[in-house]
Amino acid sequence: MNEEDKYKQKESDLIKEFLYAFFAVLAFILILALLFKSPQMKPLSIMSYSKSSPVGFEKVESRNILGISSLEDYGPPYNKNGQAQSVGFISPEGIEGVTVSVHPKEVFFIDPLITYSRLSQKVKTLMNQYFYLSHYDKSLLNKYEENYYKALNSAKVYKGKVIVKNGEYGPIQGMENDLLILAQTGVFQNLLDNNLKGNNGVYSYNFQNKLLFLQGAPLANMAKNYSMLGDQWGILKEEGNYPGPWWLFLYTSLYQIPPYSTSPSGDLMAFLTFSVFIAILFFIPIIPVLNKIPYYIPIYKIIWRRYYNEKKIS
Amino acid sequence: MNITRVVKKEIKKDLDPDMMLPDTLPVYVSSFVYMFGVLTMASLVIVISSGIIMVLEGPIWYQYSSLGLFFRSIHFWGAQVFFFFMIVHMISVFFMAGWREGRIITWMLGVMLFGISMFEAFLGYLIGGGFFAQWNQVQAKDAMNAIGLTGFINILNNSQIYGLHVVILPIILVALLGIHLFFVRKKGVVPPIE
Repeated sequence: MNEEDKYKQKESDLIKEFLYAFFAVLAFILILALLFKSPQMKPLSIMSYSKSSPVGFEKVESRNILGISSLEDYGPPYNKNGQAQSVGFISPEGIEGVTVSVHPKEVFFIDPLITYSRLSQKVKTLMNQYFYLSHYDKSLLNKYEENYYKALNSAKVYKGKVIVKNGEYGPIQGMENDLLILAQTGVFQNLLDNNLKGNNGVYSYNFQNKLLFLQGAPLANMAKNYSMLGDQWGILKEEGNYPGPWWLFLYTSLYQIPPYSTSPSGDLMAFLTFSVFIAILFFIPIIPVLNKIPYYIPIYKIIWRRYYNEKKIS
Repeated sequence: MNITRVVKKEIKKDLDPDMMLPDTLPVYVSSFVYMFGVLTMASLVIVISSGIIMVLEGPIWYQYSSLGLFFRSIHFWGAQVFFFFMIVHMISVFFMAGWREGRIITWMLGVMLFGISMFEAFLGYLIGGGFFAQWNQVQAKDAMNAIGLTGFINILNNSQIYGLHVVILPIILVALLGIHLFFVRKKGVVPPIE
């Protein structure tokens, strides 16, 4: 016998109640869907970015070849150049190691140009120059790369092309301009994820490299315009007034306060803290004091007020 | 031991229709807070149904055709409503100390459903196909990397997110919900605090 069978019973129709609830909720959701539709902010493609911001595209490439992109010293799982996040002795990222190796210079700069050089003698000549310098005169190559990166700060755009003042750029200027053309045609973005494991890009829905290319200034600047940066509760926000994943409020709120917002291991700290919260919620029935909260805050008296009233009368 | 006979006996004992689908309930089940559990379930049915239609037609359909966008809107608002009802349900069960008298497993299953639903719904946001999806993919990757899961679930790999969102996690959710409901019925609705 159920515990509840000890109590006085009343007539009930669970299936009918569910059907009433179902159609009421369905009607409510249909009204919301018809009235408000759903958010549909267009995604950013590398092609559209390279057309709308040719200088921005070349700056991203310059940071990749200079080794100053945020990905360069990210560490695991992309490379070994950075520190894995850790809290005390806990470092799952460190234990995992490099599982999806990404070297920005190769993936975003050299590999697409190698493909392009098969179609263009001009690109092939530039690549030969580049490889020669990278083997025999690295410091000169680095000087060219730095010169071009600095020159981009005062660059102008003419008919979709980047124009910089005259200077010593070696093969870099030509290579960057050729990559820009490749990006503006849409070929560049398709080349990025082709080198990932599996079927040479056929049937691939892995957009890892495209997203990693865009993750810095291209996406961040756009996010800033919509107040969607991490320190602006970005992950909770949707386009316009649409609700985002507000149920992640507690998790996201951690990112707004130190040490979570300032520590290089903030992500791991936030995850561990939230895990503790979920564990407390999970075990609350057996945690002393916490399992008595419902008794201290007698909301139950409102919930069961009819029962208590009837009991008092009888 | 005849395993078939043992299983049959257990099924008869635990899945008795009188217990699973009672036509009477105790008199104390008379507050509006009891609605939120069933409202959560009803909204989940709508979210899953709209999701199945979206999966059958594919991402381009639900991102660009007017009918597809309509179903996407149902799915979107369904998820919002689902979370609202689920959180109110959870808070009310908490203040009823709903884990009393042998109902701890029911509560724990509920917390698991809440946790998995949060992850499931967030993955849905990541495959919405808009700027928000892209931006949050690159934001969320840092958390996934930090907990050492990228080798297993790469949040930038849409085929993995898609598979998790439309197949694996819904199956886990529905299975856990089934067990949760089983325990709700087996143990009955928690009686008032005396």
